[in-house]
Amino acid sequence: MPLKIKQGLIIILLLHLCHKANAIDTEPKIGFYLGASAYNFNNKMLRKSINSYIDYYSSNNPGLKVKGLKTGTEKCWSLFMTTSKGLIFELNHAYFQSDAQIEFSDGTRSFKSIFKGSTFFVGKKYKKNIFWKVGFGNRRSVLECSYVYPDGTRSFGKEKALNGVYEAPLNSWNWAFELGKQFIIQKHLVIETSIGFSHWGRTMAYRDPSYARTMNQSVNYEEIPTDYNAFYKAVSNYDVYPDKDFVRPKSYNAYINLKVGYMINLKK
Amino acid sequence: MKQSIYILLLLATSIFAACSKEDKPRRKLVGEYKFYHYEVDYFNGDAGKDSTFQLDDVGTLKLSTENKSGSEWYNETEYTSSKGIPKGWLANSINTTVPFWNTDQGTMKTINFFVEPNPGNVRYVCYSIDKIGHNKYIFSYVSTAPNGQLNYVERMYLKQK
Repeated sequence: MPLKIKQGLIIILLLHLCHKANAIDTEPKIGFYLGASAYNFNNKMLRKSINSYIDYYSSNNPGLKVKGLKTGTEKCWSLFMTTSKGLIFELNHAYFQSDAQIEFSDGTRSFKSIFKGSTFFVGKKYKKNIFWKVGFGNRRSVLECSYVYPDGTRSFGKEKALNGVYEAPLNSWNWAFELGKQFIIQKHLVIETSIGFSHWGRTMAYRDPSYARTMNQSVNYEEIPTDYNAFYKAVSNYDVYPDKDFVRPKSYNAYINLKVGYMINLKK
Repeated sequence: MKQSIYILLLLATSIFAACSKEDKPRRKLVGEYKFYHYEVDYFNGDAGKDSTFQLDDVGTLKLSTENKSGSEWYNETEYTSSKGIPKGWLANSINTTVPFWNTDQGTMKTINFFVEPNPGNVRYVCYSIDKIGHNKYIFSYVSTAPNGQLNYVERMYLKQK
């Protein structure tokens, strides 16, 4: 079950209320975390594209609505190290997904955004184990467009326009800032909670270079338009649809994060 | 000193992890598969599923690649069966047991089989991939009527040898 933002906030609040403040922790440590995050996902171009898609198809399908466009979840693992001066180094590997769905009478259109990659964080820990971290890394960006039929079959086939696996040709660079607190539960067990802000960005559009897609298609969806009316108009008039108006994997996100970790002291 | 070594190790691991792993889906799919089950669900408009056709122990499917640098398309298929060619292939005029194949380079969700009888004349069929267990996959093809309703769903159950 995906971790929701409200549930996450309640867990963090309970941890703060129940946990006694630690003494200043100055011993160097090394360890690993497993964690999950709840995201407010904000890819403006994808939002514009989906809203335009709804507008375009609403004439034949009144009452279309999108679900899950602004939320996402992430699972991650990381290796970390803290020095005796409170410096933090962490290598985080994460898999993010957000699934926006539009229900039609004969099935559900799904736009699943996936960002997968690594971020290297550097930070500082203070009294009461409060910390900040800044991170920089890169991620593969994929947008899976599929159609789910009433019998549960998920199709990426060419029987429906847009279906396909679109990927940004180059990995997107990302940066992140986190502010949080560590709860040292036992000698080796640690829980870390944080709130963060991240940006994933790249100027190149999502693209599905599938060989099949380029064959004899009346409308070629090699990339995903942000404005369907303008796109179809351009296609029917043999005009050029501007490159800048295709969806790109660029988003600004806010998130909360909960990690459970195992650590060992480097000084015995 | 010890701390510096750990920091260096973390940095090295992060650089390694950041490296893009191109062509992974194609390398994962290459191999010989036992085609152990075949089914086609037929639909009848709003009435839903009408009937199901099933076959077991259909044959083998071999996906190979010459793995030429920069070549994403010309991977070879070898389909061996005494029970006929899959319906989706026939519906899209892939009338051979040795079409070419390619997969997406994103999350390994699609596989296209195609033939090029004459230069520029390409016929293809696109299957969706579901991973259902260790080395087990379903390749499914959906056919719809002109009004968008389901016509049939074909599923090839495959186990990588």
